[in-house]
Amino acid sequence: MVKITKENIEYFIFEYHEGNLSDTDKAEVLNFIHQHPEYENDFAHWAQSYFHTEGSVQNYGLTNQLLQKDAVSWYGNKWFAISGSVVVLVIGLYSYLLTFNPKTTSVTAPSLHSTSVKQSEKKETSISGAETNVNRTIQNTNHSSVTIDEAAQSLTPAATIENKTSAGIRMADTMFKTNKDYIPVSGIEDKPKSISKTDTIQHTTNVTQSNTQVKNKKNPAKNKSGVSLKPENKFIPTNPDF
Amino acid sequence: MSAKLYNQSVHDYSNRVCRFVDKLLQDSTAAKDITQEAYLRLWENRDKIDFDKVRAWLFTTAYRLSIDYLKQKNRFYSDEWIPEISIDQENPDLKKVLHDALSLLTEQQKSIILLKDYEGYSYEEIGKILQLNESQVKVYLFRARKKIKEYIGDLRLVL
Repeated sequence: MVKITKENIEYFIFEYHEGNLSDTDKAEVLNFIHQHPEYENDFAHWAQSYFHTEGSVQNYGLTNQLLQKDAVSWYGNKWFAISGSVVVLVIGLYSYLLTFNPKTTSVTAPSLHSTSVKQSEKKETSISGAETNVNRTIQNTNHSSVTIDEAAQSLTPAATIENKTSAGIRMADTMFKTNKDYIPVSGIEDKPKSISKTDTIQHTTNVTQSNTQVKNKKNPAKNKSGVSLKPENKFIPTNPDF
Repeated sequence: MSAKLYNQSVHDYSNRVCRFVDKLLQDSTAAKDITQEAYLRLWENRDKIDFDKVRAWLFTTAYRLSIDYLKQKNRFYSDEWIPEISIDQENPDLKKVLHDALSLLTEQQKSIILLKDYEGYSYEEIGKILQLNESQVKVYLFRARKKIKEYIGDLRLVL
């Protein structure tokens, strides 16, 4: 330990405040100052010559300007990049197959076809229903024509002429005459009924309507759909969903 | 050094470096420019610099840029020249007195004081930054503190 003198006291005071002295040396310095009070102000001024930090550092606003975007280093993140690209490729391929799968497109077609089939079935049922009604009316008219014809034979010429002049009966006669395969339905009385004008009118209406429907069926060119668009007054649909 | 470590150095040291240059040059605008330049050089040389030595590298670069700035401005002070400073006798705040006392020091002395008191560098680390050996740092530091002490003593005598 070097002896403290007035020549080297400032250096020792400097070293004391820098923290470079041992406890023994610090005691020696304090003892010298105690023996020489004129150095007390120097000792205090040396202590005040130190800059002390204020705790937190002043923000100069440069942080955001200096930051760099995280660049993906190929060598540092090689496997991460490869795996990421593979995942993206798989997802893209899966989505492509899911979107453009021909099986998915064909699924929609049958649904449309099925609906069209259903509609056609409906039409057919309606047509068949109409046909049955036509057949029924034809049968009824035939019955009446049979009865009318038989009655006409038994009637006086005046009555027959009167009946024959009716348009509906003429059509019924022609139909009856042309229908060679006509087989009388059982249950019909052979004896002619008394014919009245009202009966003929009823029969004519039935015959005209039925003939119209039959003609529409025989001539599809006139009615392409094969079904009368206007519902008939006496048309009874068989399909409840019609 | 990756970009992530670079950004971490920005968060940790950017304000400290700027404070060091600001107190060294007494100019906050120049301090910001020099700090940005220092970090720009760090980014360009990030592959060559280890993250453990980034702090010392930044202060070294900032100090050299500051000396170059002062030389360009013809404001580089030597040990022999001591500028005159005005003393605010109405508000002898010690903090302000110390701030004014820095103007009495040379750039080298000022740098040593700032690196020692604000950043807590050792004599050896300061020597590496300023390219001095440990004994030289200690001598320059002693001279700097003695100047400040005498300035404070004279001020109190005047007041």
